[in-house]
Amino acid sequence: MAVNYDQEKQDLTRRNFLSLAANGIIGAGLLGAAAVFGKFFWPNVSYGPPSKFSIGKPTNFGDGAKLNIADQKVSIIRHGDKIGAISMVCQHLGCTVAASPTGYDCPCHGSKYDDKGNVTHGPALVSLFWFDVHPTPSGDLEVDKSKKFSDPDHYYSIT
Amino acid sequence: MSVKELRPSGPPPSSGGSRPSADGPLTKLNKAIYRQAPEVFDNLRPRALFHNIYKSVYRTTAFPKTERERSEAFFNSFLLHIQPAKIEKHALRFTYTFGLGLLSTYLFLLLTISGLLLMFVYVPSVQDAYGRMQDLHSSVSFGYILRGMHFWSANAMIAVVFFHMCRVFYTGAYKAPREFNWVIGVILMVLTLILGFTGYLLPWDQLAFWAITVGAGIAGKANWISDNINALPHPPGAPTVPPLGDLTRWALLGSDTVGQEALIRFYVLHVAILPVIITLFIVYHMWRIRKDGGISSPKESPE
Repeated sequence: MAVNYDQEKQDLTRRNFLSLAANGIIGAGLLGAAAVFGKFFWPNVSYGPPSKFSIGKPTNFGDGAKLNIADQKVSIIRHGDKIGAISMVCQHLGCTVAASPTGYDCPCHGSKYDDKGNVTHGPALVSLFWFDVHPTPSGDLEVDKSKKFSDPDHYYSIT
Repeated sequence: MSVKELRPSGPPPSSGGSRPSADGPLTKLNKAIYRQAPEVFDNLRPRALFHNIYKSVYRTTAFPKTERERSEAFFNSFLLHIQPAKIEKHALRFTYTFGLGLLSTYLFLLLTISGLLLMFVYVPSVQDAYGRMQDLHSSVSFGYILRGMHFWSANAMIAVVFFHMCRVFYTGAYKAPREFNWVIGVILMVLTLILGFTGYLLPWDQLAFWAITVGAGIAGKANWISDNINALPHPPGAPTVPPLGDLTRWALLGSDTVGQEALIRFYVLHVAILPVIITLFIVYHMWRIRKDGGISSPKESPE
């Protein structure tokens, strides 16, 4: 196939140079705009709930308590003198699990966890996260969701 | 008499072993393509490739040689085809139009782009709107300059549209055959003002709230029309005109006072309905410029 182009016209004449320069400037401008858009689009702040929240005095929880804090998706449990905070976000695909007599059940794909968040039934493969629980100077307990543990039994001992 | 065996039984005689195949699958494919369509390889040569891509994008040759090809570069280009085939010398003088019509179009484009970006942050609810507007100033990268661009472009667009109208008036461009395009232009100006008015409420600050309260109050003054009609002498039991101002105000705010209903109404009008309507009118306005014979000329209206 004969291509309709002229070798002469492809030399770097003044016209071609200016055309190249203009296209280069436009291209650089578009790249810059894309970079600015990326920076704008990236969320600098989170509108979600704070990662640290108070759960009140340890005496609020009786032995064997399993309290669901819905807006934080955290379950507070008390076993004897130990208090723990278990994430209620399923490790399979992120649904919120529901407390059940045997532990926690995920309504989305049927994953089941025991009372300490260990997987007893798939499709989830990893046990639920535990969050750090520590006392504050006022005597209230605080859960810090930024400190999470993959293995169970990260209790806070009351005593 | 011997019988010729048509189909020899058994495998064909070996011709000294199979030929060692040096070609990989890619080479075989390339050879097959070359046999079927040799021009493919011509088209993949860098210069031909560039030229083909250019031509597919711009619908014209990248290196026009003749006058015809040079003019085709204009006619075939979407961005350039708005230029008329010929233009009068006076129309090229900057001070004839001051580029005001094009400037207002550019401002509208700028407002559309900046407004679309603002929609990523803004939430049209009475709880969140003011906070999101403040977040643009503090916690969103480039948010302050983005909001500033939208605000100042909107103010500038109203001014530019007004000056454009003045220019059209002083150059007599409202006269035949451009009368209807003047009407379209007035509609565009009103749409610009309504867009400015609906956008004014969205920051949900004191200025916005009271401005829309007052604006809706002005709409309520249309009661004057129905009140005066009802005050005319009429037979007893004749139907009365409903209070036009109250009805307009109710429709505008969706409530008695400026609240969530007014905010969501103004938001949808501002970001969806009015921009689509004004875009259609802008397209028609520009089409009419070309169809009405381009820009106005002093030669058209003899004194």
